Amino acid sequence: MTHFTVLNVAVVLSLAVFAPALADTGWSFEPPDLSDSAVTMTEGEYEALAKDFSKSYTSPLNVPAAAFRSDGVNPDRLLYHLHFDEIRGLDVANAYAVAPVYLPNGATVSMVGVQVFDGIDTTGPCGDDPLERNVEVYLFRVDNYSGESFQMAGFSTTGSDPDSQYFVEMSVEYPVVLYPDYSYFAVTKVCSSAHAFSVMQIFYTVD
Amino acid sequence: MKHTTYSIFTVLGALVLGAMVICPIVNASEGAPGDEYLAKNFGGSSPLVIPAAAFSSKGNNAESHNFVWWAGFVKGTALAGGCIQAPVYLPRWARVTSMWASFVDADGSNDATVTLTRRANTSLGDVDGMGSLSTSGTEPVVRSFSDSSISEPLVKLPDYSYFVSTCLASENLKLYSVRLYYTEETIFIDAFETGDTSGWSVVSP
Repeated sequence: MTHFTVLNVAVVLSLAVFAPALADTGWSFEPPDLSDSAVTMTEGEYEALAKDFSKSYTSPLNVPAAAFRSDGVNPDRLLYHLHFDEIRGLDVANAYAVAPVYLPNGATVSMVGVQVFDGIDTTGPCGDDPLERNVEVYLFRVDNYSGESFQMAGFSTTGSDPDSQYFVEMSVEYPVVLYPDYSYFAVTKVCSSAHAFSVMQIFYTVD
Repeated sequence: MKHTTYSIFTVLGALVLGAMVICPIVNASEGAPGDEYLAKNFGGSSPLVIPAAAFSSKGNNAESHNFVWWAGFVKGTALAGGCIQAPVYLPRWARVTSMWASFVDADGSNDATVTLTRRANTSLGDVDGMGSLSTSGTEPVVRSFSDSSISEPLVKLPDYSYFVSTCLASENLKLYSVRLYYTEETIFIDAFETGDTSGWSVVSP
């Protein structure tokens, strides 16, 4: 091996380790944005993708509705359905539920999927603001030493649908899991009894 | 030979720079930051980072705490007096070495205390405090507090269940996470070499 070859290897190594750090910037304490790239998938498309991402036997991490609890504001405006493992609203006002997320250190999150149901249209409970009438789901990380928070993925329904919807985000922000620097958690917002959050699935790979 | 030596130094330099990025100095005395980045097995990598989102109300006075979902911390409210708790999932036979927590303590009148507790699964009311840390002073920034004197540090499953708890007396007390550092440096599966012979018998099976 010539010294030029070794030098090339060194440069590549340096770029490889610096790249995640250079990309590791984002908003904090700003209103969350919903991902434009979130798309719905058919059941067949989902299964094919899930098999591909599930090569690591512990992936995906399922965060079921049962893992969520109220954020503490108006906790009686959330209702967990035991039989269906769903969190629903009570037609009163927006209510938020949160859940811890435990991922392997060093893992790379490849995709996040959520299953939700939104059965309310442009009229009825939950106010007149269309945004107030949607189901929202987020995946966040927060810096344990600065308090800065980062949205990794965000989802929102866009109106009434007679069926459960499965959204996926394949362009996850800040995908590398770093402990002890960050904590990870999921959030969902519902309002109506015709809103339901069922599960967040976090697909990841481990080198 | 001259070129070879130059190349070696170049590679070493790149690796050192890389290590500085991969292993940021988060806190000079918290755990061993270099080690956990090498351990990537789920459930086997210290520290266990328990997010604030894992804490839930103990039931009464449920609105005494509010998880600020866009910022990732839980704080007290004007309805002071409630407490919160979170389950702790550690590997069997792990040895807990220290507990850390990230807080904003901007309350001039109250501090917050986090307690790590184990509860016996087979005997009623058999509860052991393992560790405790408290905030101090008043600063409107995130600070880390710790306890490195852990009692009953060996994680014994299924004999015990583990949890952490705290009470935040005002909205000026904000908890971001609790971090438990542990080792799994045992040879025998029941950690016999640590002196714990409870699982052994002088009677031949």
